[in-house]
Amino acid sequence: MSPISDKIITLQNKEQLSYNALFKQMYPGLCVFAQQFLVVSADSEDLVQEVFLRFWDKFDNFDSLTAIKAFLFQATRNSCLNLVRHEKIKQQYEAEQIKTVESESYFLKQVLKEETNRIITQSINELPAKYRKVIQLSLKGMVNEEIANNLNLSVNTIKSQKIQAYKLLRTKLQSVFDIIHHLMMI
Amino acid sequence: MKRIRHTKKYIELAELLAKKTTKQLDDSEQKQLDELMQQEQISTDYKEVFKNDLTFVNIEKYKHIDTVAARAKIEWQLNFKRAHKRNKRLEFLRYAAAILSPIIIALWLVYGTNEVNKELQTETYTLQAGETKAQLFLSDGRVIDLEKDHTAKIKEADGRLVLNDSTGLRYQINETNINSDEATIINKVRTPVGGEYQLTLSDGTKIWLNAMSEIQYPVKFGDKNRKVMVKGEAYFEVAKDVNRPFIVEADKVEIKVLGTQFNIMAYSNEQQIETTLVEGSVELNSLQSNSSKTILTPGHQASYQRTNQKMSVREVDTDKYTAWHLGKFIFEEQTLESIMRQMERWYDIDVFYEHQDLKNYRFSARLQRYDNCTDIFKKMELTTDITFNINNKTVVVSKQ
Repeated sequence: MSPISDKIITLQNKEQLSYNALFKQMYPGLCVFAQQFLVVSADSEDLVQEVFLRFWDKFDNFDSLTAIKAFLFQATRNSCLNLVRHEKIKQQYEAEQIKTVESESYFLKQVLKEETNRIITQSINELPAKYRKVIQLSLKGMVNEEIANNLNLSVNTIKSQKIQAYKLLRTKLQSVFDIIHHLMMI
Repeated sequence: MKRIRHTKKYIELAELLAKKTTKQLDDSEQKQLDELMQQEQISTDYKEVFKNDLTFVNIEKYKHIDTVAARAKIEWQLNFKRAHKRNKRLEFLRYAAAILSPIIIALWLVYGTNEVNKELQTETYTLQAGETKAQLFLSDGRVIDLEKDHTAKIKEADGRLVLNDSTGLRYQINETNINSDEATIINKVRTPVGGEYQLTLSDGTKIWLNAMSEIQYPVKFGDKNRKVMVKGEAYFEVAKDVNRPFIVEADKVEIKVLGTQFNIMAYSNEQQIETTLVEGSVELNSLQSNSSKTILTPGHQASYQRTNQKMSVREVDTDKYTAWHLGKFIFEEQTLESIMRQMERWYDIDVFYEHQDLKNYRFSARLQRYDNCTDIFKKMELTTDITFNINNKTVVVSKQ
């Protein structure tokens, strides 16, 4: 594979982050996010790639990472809606369904849902496998005994693994959260 | 602006909730979260999205998304965009040159010294010929760099193996171990500026892809026909199969064949789409106008004019149009402008003319495609009063 170029995005508050780090973090989440707006089965990946491609040179104009994220969500949503409106499939869907997807409140709810999901998923994914399982089951609402049964381990093991896992999660979460910070640590 | 503010607020809320879920919330953040939740709209939305239940985390959702392949795809497109941008800049230069050149020449006549001229001439560079290279886009989003003398087996999503070796890309005829229900896996091969590539499809059809071109095809053809899509220029040696016609869709033209050899040139910056038939017989249909189909016989070329959407047929020396796939340039009474457009694609150069009438100079030449660009220009200089000044990747054509 040819070397992938990276570029440093300098925000208006003079903070810097790497384009590749931004892409790695936001791409999967945005794909899932896009699917919530595509009432037809279209390729959400192509669409999100198009958004990144279009704004490759323009990320420097933002004042913060949150602003970039907000913008990415909006641009993705707009691309989806354009597609939905312009495709012939319009007839197949009730006008009301499209209205829902077009509404501001639907957009904000999807941002909330997918962004929360993304941050949690990405930080959990970075955990070692044994901790990952414990955390996943715990998030599903299982108590220690149930997790212990499920994984065939003692309750004490689960307890100590949980403590370790949450400790680790703190650092992982920090890196997912703040790629600006993350970049400077490398 | 209001919308951006709202969106940012919801992103911050998401961050706090993620921290809460993984028990990482500190006191000040908890306070922040509580304050947000006091806003009616936010608390309603929160309840609606999570139903007071944070067990929604679904890691599986992200698993099938290949971020690395996606990033590679964007990289490739960025490179193309940059190449294209250069062409646009060139357009500007052309206009600028048309306006400025009389002024510059006047200035040169007044102030011009030999030293300036010398300086320009010593600044020559060797410009590499194009080479065997392309990128393969698999249906599952993987992107693979194809290079010469590099042997590899590539596994398709259905378990099929594709061989990549010194003869290009080859789809195995051997069909064992394949889930036949996945018959519609589509692959795409794209060549950059200064690239060419050769591939053999599953039916044995051989294809040569010229620079800045693209072909899209199923890894296995269906029972009714064999259909591919082409951008740019390609030479086809279609394997005979009377029961399954081979169909090429090239921009505005569709070509239907049974078994034959032909060249299709459909670069979007050329005025016409040319189909040149070497052997066999082909049937052409314009995808835009409703004109009747055109049947082509060997030694003829069908030319579709993009401007008036008309198809015309004429007798041609096919070698001239197909020589590229054998590593040669053959020009016969061809305008400098059209020759240089080919050079731009193959040598990755930008050309501009000191006088517009230079574009209409006609040349006849037989040249080796893998020769250095400067050698080719030298040969052309010998027979005319034209000079080529090469500066980095820009070539300025002027009169001696």
